[in-house]
Amino acid sequence: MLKMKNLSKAFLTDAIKTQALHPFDLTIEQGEFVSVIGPSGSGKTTFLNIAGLLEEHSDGLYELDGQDVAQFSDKKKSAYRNEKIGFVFQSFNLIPELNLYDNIDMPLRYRKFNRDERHERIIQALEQVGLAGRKDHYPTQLSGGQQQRVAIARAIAGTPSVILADEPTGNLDSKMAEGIMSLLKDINAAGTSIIMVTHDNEQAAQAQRIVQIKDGHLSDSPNIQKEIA
Amino acid sequence: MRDLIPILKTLKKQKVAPALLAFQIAVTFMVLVNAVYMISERSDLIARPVGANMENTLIVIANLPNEQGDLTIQLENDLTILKSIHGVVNAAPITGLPLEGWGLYMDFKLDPNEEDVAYGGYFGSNENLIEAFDLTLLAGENFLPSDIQKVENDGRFKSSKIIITKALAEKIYPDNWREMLGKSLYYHKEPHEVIGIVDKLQNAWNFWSALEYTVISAVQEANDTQRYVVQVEPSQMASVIKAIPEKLLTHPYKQIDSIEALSEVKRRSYQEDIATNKLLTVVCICLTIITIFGILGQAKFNISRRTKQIGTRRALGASKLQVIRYFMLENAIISTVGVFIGVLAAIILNNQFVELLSLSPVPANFLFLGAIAIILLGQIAVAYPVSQAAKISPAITTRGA
Amino acid sequence: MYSYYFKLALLSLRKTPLLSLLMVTMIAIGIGATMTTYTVSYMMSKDPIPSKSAQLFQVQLDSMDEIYGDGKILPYTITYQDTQALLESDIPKYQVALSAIQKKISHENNAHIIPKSLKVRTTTSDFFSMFETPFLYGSGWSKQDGKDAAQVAVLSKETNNWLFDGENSVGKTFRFGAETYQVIGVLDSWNPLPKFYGLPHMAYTQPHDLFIPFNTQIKNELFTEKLVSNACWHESTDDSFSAFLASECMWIIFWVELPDNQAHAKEQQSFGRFKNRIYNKLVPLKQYLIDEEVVSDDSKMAVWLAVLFLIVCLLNCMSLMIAKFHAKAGEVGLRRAVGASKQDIVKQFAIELSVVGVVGGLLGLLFAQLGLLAAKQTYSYLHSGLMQMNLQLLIGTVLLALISSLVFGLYPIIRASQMQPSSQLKSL
Repeated sequence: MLKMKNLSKAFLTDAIKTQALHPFDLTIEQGEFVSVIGPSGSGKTTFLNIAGLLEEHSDGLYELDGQDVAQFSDKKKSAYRNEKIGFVFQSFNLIPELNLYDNIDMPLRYRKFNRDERHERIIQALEQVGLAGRKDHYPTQLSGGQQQRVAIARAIAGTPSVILADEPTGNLDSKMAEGIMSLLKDINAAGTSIIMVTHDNEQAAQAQRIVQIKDGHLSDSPNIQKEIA
Repeated sequence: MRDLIPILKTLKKQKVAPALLAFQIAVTFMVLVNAVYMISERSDLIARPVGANMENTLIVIANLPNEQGDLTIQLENDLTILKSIHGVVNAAPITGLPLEGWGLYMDFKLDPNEEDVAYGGYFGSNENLIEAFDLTLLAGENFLPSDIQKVENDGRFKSSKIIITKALAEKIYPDNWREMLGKSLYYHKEPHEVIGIVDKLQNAWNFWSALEYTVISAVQEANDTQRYVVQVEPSQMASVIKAIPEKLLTHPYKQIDSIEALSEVKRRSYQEDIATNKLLTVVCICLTIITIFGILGQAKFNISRRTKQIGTRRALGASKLQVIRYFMLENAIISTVGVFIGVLAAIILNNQFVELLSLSPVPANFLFLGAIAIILLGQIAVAYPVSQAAKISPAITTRGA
Repeated sequence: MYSYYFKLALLSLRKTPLLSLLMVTMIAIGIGATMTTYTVSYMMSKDPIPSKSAQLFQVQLDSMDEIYGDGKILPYTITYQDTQALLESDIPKYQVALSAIQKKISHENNAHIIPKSLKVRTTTSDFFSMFETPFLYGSGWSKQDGKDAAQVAVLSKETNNWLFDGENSVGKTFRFGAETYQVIGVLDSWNPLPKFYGLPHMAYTQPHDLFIPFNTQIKNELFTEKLVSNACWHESTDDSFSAFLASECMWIIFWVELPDNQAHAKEQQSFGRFKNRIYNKLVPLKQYLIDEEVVSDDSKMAVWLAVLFLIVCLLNCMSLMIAKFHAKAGEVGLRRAVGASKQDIVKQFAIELSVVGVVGGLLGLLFAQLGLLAAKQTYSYLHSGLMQMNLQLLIGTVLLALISSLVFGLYPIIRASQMQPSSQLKSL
């Protein structure tokens, strides 16, 4: 599903070149749950941004679903982000003046769904995250954990191939964090790939496979589950 | 001053918002300078003295009904009545009014076979006009009652004695206007001896180049609609205005069209200019208010965007005064750039107006004063947000916004 | 999709009420000022009679010894002798001679109606057809009435209201000075702007209070110097009215309507019958208005100033918009992350600005109406019909607001859509 070959990223500011990511190879198959772990400033977010088509890589090849993303126009990238990728952020990023229903609705609006189809998807997503009765509430009325659930609902409502999660439990206490992790595992079990960035080793261990990034160097480790199994 | 270079560097990086503000200041400056200049020019125009005593001169317009018989006799009758009213200094008939917008004008020659030497306005009256208007006789003498010719409707083709304004004399004899005395001025092919020269008397058209060139002839005209000039003693205006209809309206067909002060005639004459001045003033005020609010708003936004930066500066040791000075200086630089562009733009706009409206070009000191004023305005506008900026706690750096 | 964006726009505006109000008000003030001045200027220079302005011409003749003014235009009045000669021509479809007098008008019997000195338009019978005057009762006088110098009159609506209490007064008589005249017609409300057929400097005053045949003025030797522009280049031989008529005094205004045929109009440029005329001219209506500078320079200047004022207001708005979108950076980043393309962002904010623009335009319309009210007071000597917006101006106001908001918002919007989503997401 996701193939990176010799990928690297460098920033150029005022003639000073900073290598955020050194060239690496990475392949992720459909259905995998991958953790990306590393200290702050290691390049995890850059990696996730590139994976999520939010940033461009400087060198190398990135193929998503068999297509070279370097050829993508802004419109096509947007379409991919819309249909194939779902984002979950550390600080939830819900729009406070819209209620839950409308928040989840937002990415669906950029697709050609009609009203009934959107409605169905939103209700289904809310049920899946356990917040079906609260569709008319506003983000400010929810706890942190509930808000993150809504964010996840927003990410899955469009039935993406992969979910990119950037420190999804970073702003939550341990109890809420547990709930989120189990939710993500359920979603993965249903067939959606998950790439999760975290600096928490314990959380990272819950994934099937761990990728480490340190000082811009990415080192893949084999599938732990497979290993254990 | 050591803030100057860092400010310039910052402005270079974040060009758009300051450029926008500078441009706004430029346009405001451009409009304000031109508008204020036009207002002042117009005010000067309106302030020009008519030559008569504006506070105490009354204009009466009444009819001389044919039904009543000989027009000249009626005229003299009216004059006798007017002069008898308590509070009236003198009264005279006249063929037109200063600044009325309607009247008689002619071309003047010194020699009937040669070219015109001037043109100007005409009033026909008698020996009482000088006192009725309270004009100032500078040279020569007034008409004698025996000089006056009496006609009905249209006396300008008669040869007669005349009194002219100093401006007209100067036009004809620029080196010594007194030379005009005793000489004859030709109009409508007839000679007219100049026996007196008055200081000033504007004729009918306020926009005319020949506004100050006026001739008073010793030809008394009686018109169906007759104009009278009445000089009133100070503070007697109200009672005289009341008395006139009582005394004059003696015959059923006698009507008074109007009684008004000469100042009212003048006001009507300039009504468009006065209205335009009002409009310009409103524009200036609104523009100033909008620009002040604009500067204020943008300064506020600017500062709130840089709250963390300001907090950091304070944490690093900058005093409140230094923070204030930094932002005031930044604003002054933007204003100066804006004003600089504005001066160029103002000159261009002014050129357009000069062509379009035949104005005179804005003098340099106007531009200079305007520039100072705008920069000061900017500083005042930005003072409040900047003082708020200085109050930002340095603790913001560690605590987060 | 657009109703969705509309909903988002309303939400967004509600979120920052003060900022939104400021933007809307600023646009409204700028638009209000511009449209107030533009309305007055537009009304001043409107074609007063579009149905036939291309066929109306003023006749100007060169009958003086010297050059008139700067030699580029001729005086707009002609002599009585020339008028008589012109009236005999059958080439024009309609032709009118115009002058004016002042007369005391009163009711024959009703002493409660105080006599008033009114302005009387003296003209020939074609006037009413040529200038398409609307009649409430009756009609104009016939050519024969004119020839006979009949003592008939057409009253304006206001004069009829005053003299006969607004009823159908056709056939009734009234006192015209010491004489008795008969009402032959009453006009409906009629206010051509500018009033091009009369004296140029009175182009924005109301039409005169009543109309009588030109010949009637001549036969009764009526003349009011103040209501005409009379230029006499030689003295009359004596004081009599007949000498005045025979003289070189130019005091009559003459208009013709020529049939559609353009070529025919060009032909008329040389009226062969006037032997001693070196130079004569048919001036089309539109050119006449320009020559006589009927539209004041001041009104043009006012429009310029107002437009500059609008620009300042819009620049202010632009800064406000940049500030607003800057604050929305997080939301933009989020939307881009979940799949909005740059165009989607542009569309969203364009709709938002359109809402601001339209609301600003409507508020600006209100301000403009207030401005026109104030203008009516300040310029009270001008016709109040000048200070009114017609439908096109009303719609134009809102359109102007909408378009200028979008034009000035273009830069902020595009800047917002260019924002890199990744840079915004950590700090939402």
